[in-house]
Amino acid sequence: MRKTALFLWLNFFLVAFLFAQEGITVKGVVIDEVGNPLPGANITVVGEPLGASTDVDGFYSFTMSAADVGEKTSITLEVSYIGYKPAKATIELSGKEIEQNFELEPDLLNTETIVVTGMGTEIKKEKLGVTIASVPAEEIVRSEESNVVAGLAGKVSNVEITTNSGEPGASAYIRIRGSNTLIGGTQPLFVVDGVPINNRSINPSPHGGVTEMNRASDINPEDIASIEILKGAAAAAIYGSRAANGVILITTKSGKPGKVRATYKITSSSDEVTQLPALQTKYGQGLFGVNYGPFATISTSWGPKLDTLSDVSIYDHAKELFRTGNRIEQNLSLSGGSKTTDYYLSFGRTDHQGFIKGNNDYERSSFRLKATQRIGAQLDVTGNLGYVNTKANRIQKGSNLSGLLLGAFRTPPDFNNEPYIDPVTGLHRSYRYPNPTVLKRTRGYDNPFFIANEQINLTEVSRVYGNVTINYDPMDWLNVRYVLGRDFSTDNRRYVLPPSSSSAPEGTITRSEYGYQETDGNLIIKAAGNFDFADMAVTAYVGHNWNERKSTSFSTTGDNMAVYGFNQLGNTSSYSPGEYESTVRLESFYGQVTFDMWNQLYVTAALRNDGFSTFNAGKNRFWFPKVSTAWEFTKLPFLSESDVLKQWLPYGKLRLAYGETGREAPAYSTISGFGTDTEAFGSGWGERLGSTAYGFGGFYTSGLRGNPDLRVERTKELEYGFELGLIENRLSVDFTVYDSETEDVLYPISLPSSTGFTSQFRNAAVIQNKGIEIGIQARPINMKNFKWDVNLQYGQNDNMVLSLPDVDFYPIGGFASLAAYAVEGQPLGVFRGEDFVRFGRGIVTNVVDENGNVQQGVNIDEAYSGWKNGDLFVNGDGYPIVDTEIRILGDPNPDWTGSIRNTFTIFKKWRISTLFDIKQGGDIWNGTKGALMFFGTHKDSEDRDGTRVFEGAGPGQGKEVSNEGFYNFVGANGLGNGFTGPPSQFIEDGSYVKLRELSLSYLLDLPEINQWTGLRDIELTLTGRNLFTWTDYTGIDPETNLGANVSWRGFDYFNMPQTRSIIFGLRFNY
Amino acid sequence: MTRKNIISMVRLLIVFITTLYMASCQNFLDAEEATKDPNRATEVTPDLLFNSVQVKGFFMFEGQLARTTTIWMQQMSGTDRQLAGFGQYVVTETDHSGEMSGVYTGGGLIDIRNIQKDAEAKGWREYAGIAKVWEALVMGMASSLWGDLPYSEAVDIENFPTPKLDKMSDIYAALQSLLDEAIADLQSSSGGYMPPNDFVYGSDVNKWVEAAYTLKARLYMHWAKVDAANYGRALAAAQKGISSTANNFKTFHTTTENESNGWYQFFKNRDSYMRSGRFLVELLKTRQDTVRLEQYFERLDGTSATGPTAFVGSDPGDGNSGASSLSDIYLAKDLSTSILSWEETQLIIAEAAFKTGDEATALAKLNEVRANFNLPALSVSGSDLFTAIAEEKYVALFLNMEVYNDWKRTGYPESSSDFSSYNGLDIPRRLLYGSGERNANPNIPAPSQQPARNENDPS
Repeated sequence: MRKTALFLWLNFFLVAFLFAQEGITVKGVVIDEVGNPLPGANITVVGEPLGASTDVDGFYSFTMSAADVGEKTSITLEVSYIGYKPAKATIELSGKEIEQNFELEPDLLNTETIVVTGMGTEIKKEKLGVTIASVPAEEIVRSEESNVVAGLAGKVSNVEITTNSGEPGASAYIRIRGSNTLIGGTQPLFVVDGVPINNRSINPSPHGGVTEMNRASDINPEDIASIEILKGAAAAAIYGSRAANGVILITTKSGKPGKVRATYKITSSSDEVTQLPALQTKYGQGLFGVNYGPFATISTSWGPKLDTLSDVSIYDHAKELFRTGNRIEQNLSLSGGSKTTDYYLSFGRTDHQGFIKGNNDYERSSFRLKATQRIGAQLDVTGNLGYVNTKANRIQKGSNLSGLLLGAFRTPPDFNNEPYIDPVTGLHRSYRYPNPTVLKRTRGYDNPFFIANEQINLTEVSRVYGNVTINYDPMDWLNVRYVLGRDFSTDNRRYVLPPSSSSAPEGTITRSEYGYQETDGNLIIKAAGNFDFADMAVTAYVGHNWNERKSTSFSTTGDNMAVYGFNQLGNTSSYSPGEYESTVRLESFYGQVTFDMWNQLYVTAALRNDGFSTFNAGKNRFWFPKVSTAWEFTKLPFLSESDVLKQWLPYGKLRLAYGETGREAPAYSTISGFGTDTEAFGSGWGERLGSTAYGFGGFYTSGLRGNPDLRVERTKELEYGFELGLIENRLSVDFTVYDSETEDVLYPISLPSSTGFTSQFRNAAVIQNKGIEIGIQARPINMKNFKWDVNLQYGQNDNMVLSLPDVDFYPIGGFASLAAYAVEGQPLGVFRGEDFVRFGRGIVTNVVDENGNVQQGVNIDEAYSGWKNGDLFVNGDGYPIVDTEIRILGDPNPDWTGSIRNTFTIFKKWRISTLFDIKQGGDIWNGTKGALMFFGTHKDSEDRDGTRVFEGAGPGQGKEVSNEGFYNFVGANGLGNGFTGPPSQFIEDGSYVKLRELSLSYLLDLPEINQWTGLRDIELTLTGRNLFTWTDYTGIDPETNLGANVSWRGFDYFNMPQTRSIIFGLRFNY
Repeated sequence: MTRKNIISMVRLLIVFITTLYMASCQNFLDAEEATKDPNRATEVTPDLLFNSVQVKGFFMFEGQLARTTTIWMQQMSGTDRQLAGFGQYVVTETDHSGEMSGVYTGGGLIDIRNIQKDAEAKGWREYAGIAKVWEALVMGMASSLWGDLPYSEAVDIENFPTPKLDKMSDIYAALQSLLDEAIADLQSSSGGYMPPNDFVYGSDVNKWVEAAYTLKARLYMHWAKVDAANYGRALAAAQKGISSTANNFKTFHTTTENESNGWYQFFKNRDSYMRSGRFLVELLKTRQDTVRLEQYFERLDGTSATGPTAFVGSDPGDGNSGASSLSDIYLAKDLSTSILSWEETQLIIAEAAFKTGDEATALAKLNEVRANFNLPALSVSGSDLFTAIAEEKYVALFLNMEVYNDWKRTGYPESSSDFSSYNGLDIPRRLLYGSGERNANPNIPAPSQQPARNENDPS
């Protein structure tokens, strides 16, 4: 075989030598199976730095100079286009012009695409034994999200994305195949061009503060060429202890040989608030139905009925704060290349003015240069540099006296929050301090307009990240590559609560700087060979990786501002500094071997050994193995030779994989020590005393006791499934089942505090995540002028804490009245809190009987009849009673998530696409409503004259009681609000269906424009983002959470709303 | 690929991996810059710990425990959210969990012991004596609230990972002998090193001795209800106790935010949660005690201090956040409150003298305290004298947790109809063990298994 090929090649060589003396133009058309041109298809010359891409008409051409032709007699052209099988053609180099046309076959499964599998490894998708989801760059761009993580929403099954709010620069939370840790969060590892980068969200106070950014939003989506998502341990084991939450591999665009390509894109977006809670407008400020005497500044709206008063105006405190936000994005990119050099250069700029009338805006300027220099035939060097500057000013939210909506929604409907400055005294006025006379005094709650206009929460991030890659091919079977990468960022903040802010009446300035440096060196050697036995092809990799992550933070808080509006620390009179730093190192060896057998059976085995600086020496190395197999059974002769099957089942593959990943311990958790803190002693009530008080240093025994015996958390995952290409590959089905168990899950186990210590990290819990994923792609209509593509994604994840030794439950976060917990036998993050007394739980309690007498210790299940399990117990007075036992009240994890995308391509130039994003199940605690029921501003507290009968059983069954008495804390029982009543009342179903994306694009490629301006084409797009949401949730948009990237999910407590946007875009391609 | 190729490939790999392994010196992972915690010290001096012990101590005596007892004693009233619940005597094991932990953890007993160990090892007896008084002060306060507590096995995790509960009486006995030791240390004139950062007494040994005696007297009084012999012991100790208001054991605060008074900090963050208690406000009006009215509470309007509108208190269940708040004096950032005081010492003498049959001394001491607040001398005897002493202490020890201990012993004040119970719930007579400790320590009984009253407070 090989000898024959050599002989032929020699023959061609001799012939070509005679003819190929001048330049040759190679040209042609690339069309799909129905004859439509494929614009933007890449044509490359195998082994040569030459190529071109097709224009709107599918036409390509490039010229080989005489030097390019050299002594070659033939070249091989390769065409690639997403969604189509690549094609190759070998052409003989003769004459001056060669025409080579291509007709591509659709490939919905992308079986021929090369998939990046991590740490420098890659494989053809058809040979892949695990699920790796590929998200094409244009899907991210078309989502019109400026945050690349938000752009992934609804694209991949079991990749849950929650954009935290519609604010400019708001972070997006990501969780892949559920949570598997108690302290490690759910952030996957982000890798850009082979180098890990940070995607931190830094918010020292997730209950309040501002909606933080996630650092992956520094990436300009326009720079992305492709994204691969390694979801589970089976796929991501090659990343060992970095991959416990999966890996997002981002490849940035590169230049291509050929003519200079330039693109300018501008989009303009208008944002409107989507959903707001309903507020009542009938009752004014007060208590007991009156607004009197000492209660003039009372916090609640249980006052007089407003229509009984004269001279009263009513204000809508929900809508008055908002305006239409606007975002302008511009991007300019330039790329090209020659025989020896490729380059890609881009500038991006985002200017986003938020939807709140006040200080909320975001600017991002990004720059990227990526260039490759080829040195000889064996060596090439790539430099890749990104620089980003992000500036944002935000507004505080949440459980915070100076949070925007907390004060806004609590304001009685008869109080006008405008103007927020008292015209007489010039001071900040609020409904609890309407006639201010003193500046440095709490306002109870801040006037929301004051917050929006006077508060400053500025963040400026400068970031440089990039890498140098040396690629060396000493022999045709050997490749050596070294990637040295670095990610360096500083996040510089100035947070100012001006004097009269209720959470800092004297005014506070906090200056802080968060630094992060990650350096990563990765050597990988790849060798490939073929064997006669079993037609085997072997690809082997060995590698070495070192990584260092340095994190620093420094802050100074200055209290008591002397001058209003002067925002430097010098304007304050007492300071508290804070500092934290950590260095974490990792050193790993790894290897991977892939065997291709009989051209249909693919086996990959890999092993990684990680060494950690976070564990004690001698106990700091751990192994992570994986093995996967893929069998393309449709290549069996009896299947591949059947014409019927070829048509109906052209492609089928079975997959089976097993892998392990891990997670290291938090830095320094093996060590005990003495701490010092400017806020060492304090409580949830807000007191803070520094150990270093009064000018002396102060240290104290740190509550966290070191544990020298810690190990890694380890996730073991088994994954299997199949992929089918049906009906001439116009329908594809991808089905995956996975079952993963994370053992040795770390958490700080409480020590009896009487030992002087509060906690110690231990490896103890076991968490399971199992589920299925289904992806269906179809092209139901495939005509020359009309194409319809459908893409369905379905993901289901069942999470369960299998074991939680030593404690009954472990709190993950939340509030005192309702928090998220790990509880054995329950999904991670379930809500625990109080409920009403209900039947069927064996509750024994004191009850009031029909006659109003108190009966001690009644077993209600035995004493009363006519109930079903879970029915409410109605006491003799007609009200329910509170069950003081803390119970599990809800589960924020969705039952399943999915999406449906429909794309229509009409007359080649029009493209209409819709994306519905679905989340089924997942409870949300509507804490906002609970609070507003206390304050009497919620719409549901409006019916005060009315009575109600509690549905249930018991002595008070059917008894009428007053609504007001139920809601109002100060009257009667006051169980109907979230402060003095059980939180179970405010847990709602957070299911939703969203029209995530509706986009319309038109390609303007008139030859006149081309001739007149030289532009290749202009693309016009009109996109709707989050246009509609269907949900039963009564708060703000159910895509929400109080803490940005925290693992306690489903909390809504005066969260910032979401937005819907209309985006108009223009793209000029040259 | 030929066999030769494969062999050379394997050789290359072996050489390469070996080189890598040699090159990657273990130092990369084990180097100090990667393994040493830059955020925490591993060795500190006693002075540094002493700083934390004092700050923590001030925080404990002006924090949630004091808020709870002062609300129960209706000097103040819980008017909003959780504190309204406390004001209605609803309390759970989570409400004081952090406070119970705080007794032992960093800045608490563990570091008080660290100081003692270090000072004793170095022969600094006076320093050790100061630390022992602090221990008795903190543990005495804790045991008075929770009763039986981990003590003999506490803060010794290597030997006792789950410390047992000691009987309250054993803890008090141990504290009395600890105080005797402390007094001996303080009076030893060993001339050892003294802390430069003693914010209470500036390392004045004599003042520390006085405080130790007042504390001894206080701890004896806690047991007078079960054994009247303690009156005599308390009397003897109190006579050597704090001899002037200048020698009061006071917290120390400045106008710097994280050095400021706990009451100020609470009101800054939770303004509406607490207001003056109607019982105390009305009592002060009845007593014509305008000095204290103005000193303690916020005046709402300008008319007569003892009239109905100048000072308004809130009752349990009123939730009247429009009532008088604390005064600007009490909400000053740098307010220092007394933990052990001359007033307490004199009134202990008065009560103990009364109970040991010396009404003359009792009355004299009562009037000494009254004179200090420009109040006219009283001339009462018998049970009226006893009530007057109890009332005087109730008024004088504003916001001090000792008022709660006094109430358990003397029954004062119980005159108000809604004082002892609200909505069917009685004022709790002890705190529930913190859920944090209970969840981690099998020796702590569940709330339902815990006694309703402490050993020194039988019904």
